[in-house]
Order: sequence, then structure tokens, then C-alpha cells
Amino acid sequence: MISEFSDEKLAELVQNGDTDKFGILMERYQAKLFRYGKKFISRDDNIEDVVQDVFIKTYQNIQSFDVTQKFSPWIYRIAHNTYINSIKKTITGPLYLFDFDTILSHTVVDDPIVREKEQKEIKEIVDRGLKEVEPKYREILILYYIEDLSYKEIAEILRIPIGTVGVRIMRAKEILKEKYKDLKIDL
Amino acid sequence: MENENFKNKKEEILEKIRKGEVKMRPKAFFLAKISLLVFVAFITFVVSVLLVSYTWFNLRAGGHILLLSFGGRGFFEFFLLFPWFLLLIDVMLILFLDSLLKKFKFGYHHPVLFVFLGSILVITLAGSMINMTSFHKNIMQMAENKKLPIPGVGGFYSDLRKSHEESGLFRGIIVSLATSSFIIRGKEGTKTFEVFTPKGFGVITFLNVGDTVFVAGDVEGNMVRAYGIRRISYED
Repeated sequence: MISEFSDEKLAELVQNGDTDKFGILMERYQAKLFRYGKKFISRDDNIEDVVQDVFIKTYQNIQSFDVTQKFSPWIYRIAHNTYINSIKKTITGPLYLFDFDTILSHTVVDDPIVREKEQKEIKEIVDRGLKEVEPKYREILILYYIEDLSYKEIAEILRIPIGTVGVRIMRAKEILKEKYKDLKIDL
Repeated sequence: MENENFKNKKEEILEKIRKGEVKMRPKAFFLAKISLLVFVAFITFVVSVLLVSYTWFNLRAGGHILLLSFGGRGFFEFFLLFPWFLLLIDVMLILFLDSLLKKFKFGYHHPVLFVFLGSILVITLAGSMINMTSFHKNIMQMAENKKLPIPGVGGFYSDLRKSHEESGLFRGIIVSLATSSFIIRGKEGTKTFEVFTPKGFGVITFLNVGDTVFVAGDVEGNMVRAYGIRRISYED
């Protein structure tokens, strides 16, 4: 019965004081957030601690969640911020330089046919590791091809225009092509 | 193994919640946060609008805008005397406002350039609407009569309609006329200047004693070699 509750309903119950339901939300998102974190942070140690930190922040801020909206982009946004902070601790220099793709509007369509065609190949490459790709592009590839999120959801998580999501995915694929051309994989 | 590990982590978090080591922030905290954000954005918007409208009023009341009708030299002087500092502050305020708007859905869902241009458009329109009213004029009159209730603001207005020798801009009432020159006295009545007109300017034809004029020129003691003269009403 409880497993039939939507994420949003569970979040609402937690907001109203039923803290045990938070355990179900954690179960639902642990694998996804672990996978996202492992590939994005690109470091093997401490991922579990970082994911634990995401859940703690989720609980602390759950009253700010609007139950009429989707829960998934909201928790991914918290994860995004936590992972960025984690990466910042290990690299020197700025992580996200100003993104020129957010200046102008772009018309890019989230084509399910193209996505399906590319998904298997790119997922395979992404699974092999994306350490060579800079975090900005690495993250969008994970969210789109591994986490299977839509342009709209990614735009919500990264807080960028939808058009920018399309352009960033396109650029990320070009970078992947460059990095992996030695593997002779045609993207 | 991984599952077992997660179960432990999950229990650890739930235990911390039960013990009160991890607490949920109350809804009021988020409401206060968003209210503060809206308030700061609103204040930034209002200050920005007032600054834009003041900049435009400053150009008009100080007569700088008339320089544009005084040929190439006038254009050059207008460029030099433009209150760039106010414009710079306003651009910075708009950028700050945009960074606040980025916290809202409509802010981050639109390209940066659109949000920036949209802010400029809305602020300019709002500033123009203020300039259609007597808002700044009333403040200026109060400042000139030293009756402004807010301290510190008067300095922005009280000297606007005075002559500015250092900038080569003069405003005064004609007290006497000659063939190629005339004498003006500032409204404050303290200092007079003899203004030598540009070649071909018909002093007697265009001007009368008692007219208020705006003059742009180079000052040498009490003489002004004008490159531009415009008859204005004092209210202009």
C-alpha cells in the first residue's frame, strides 16, 4: 500500500511529521543518487557519505518542497549542489566558469527517436568512465543518458534554460567524440 | 554488500532524525527567506528605476541634453559630461537584480541576455513614467529652497539649475544686449558673464533682455566664448 504512494505524497507525509516515510524516499532514490554521484564526482571514496549528506539536506529542507511539483527534480537539485561542493573541495580553480550557452536562446528539440538510437552506445561509453570530460558536460550526459531525465527536468535541476540543455548535450557529445575517437566508437 | 551498507546508512539517518540530531527547518524559515529575497529584489528594482529617472532628469534639468543640438563640439561635451558613474551604478544594480531573479523559475528558465534586456526595458519604462510626473521637479524645488525633509538627497538636486563654470555650462537671465555679445546673470544674482556669440548669430534678432538662456562655451574670466546658445524658460 505504502509503496503505491507517489514521491510527492510521501514527501507531504514527511512534511506533516511522519518521518519514517522518509526511509521509503531514501530507498527509492539511493541507487539513482549513488549512481549519479559516482559518475559525476568521478571518485570512488566517500560517495556513500556524500549521498548520506544529500539525504540529510533533503530532510532538513523538505518543508520548502512544493508538493504540487515533481519530487524527482527537486531532490536531484539538492544532489547536484552537494556533488558540486564535493568536487570543489578536490579541484583547484573555478569549477563552473560562466556558461555562454545561457546568454542566448536556442531551439533544440528533445527527440525520443534520436535519444533511443544514441542511448545504448553513449550509455556504454559513459559507463566506461567520463573522467576526461569536464564536470559541466559530464553531468549533463549522466542526467540525460544514464538517469534518463527529460530536458525539462534537467533544466529544473541545473537551473538553466531548456534550450541550453540541448546545446550542452550536443557539445558534450562532441567532446565525447573527441575523447573517445581512439576507441573508434562512432557516436 | 552495497545494499547492506546502504541499509545501515539509512538507519543511521533515521536514527539521527528520531534523536533530533537532524532537524527539519520550519516552513516559516523558507517563507522568511523568500520574503527577504522578494523584498531585496523589489528595493533593488525601485532604486534602479529612481536612478534611471534621475539620470534622465539630471540631463534635462542641468541642460546637458541641449548640448546635443550644438553640433560636433556639443556632442563631444555631452559625452564628457554624461553622468557615467550613475549609469555604471544602475547597470550594476540591474545585474544584481538579474542574479536575484535567477533564483526564481522565470529567471533561470530564460536566457541571461533576455532577462537582462527585459530588466532594462521594464526599468527604463518605469523610469520614463516617473519622469512624466513632477516627482523629481518637486524634490528639486524643495532642495533649492532647502526644505527637503530627507538629509543627503538635496545635494543631487540643489545645483542642477545653476551655472557650472568648470564644465563650461551657463544658465542665466539676459541683462543687456550688444551686437555680438550679451550679459547674463545667474538666477542667484551673484555673478555676471559677458557671452560672445558664435559668428553669424543674430543677438538682437533672437534674444531679448529678460530672456533665460542656456550657454555652452569656454570661459575666460568673466567672458564666455559660446559655441551654443539656447533660449529656455527657467522651468526647462
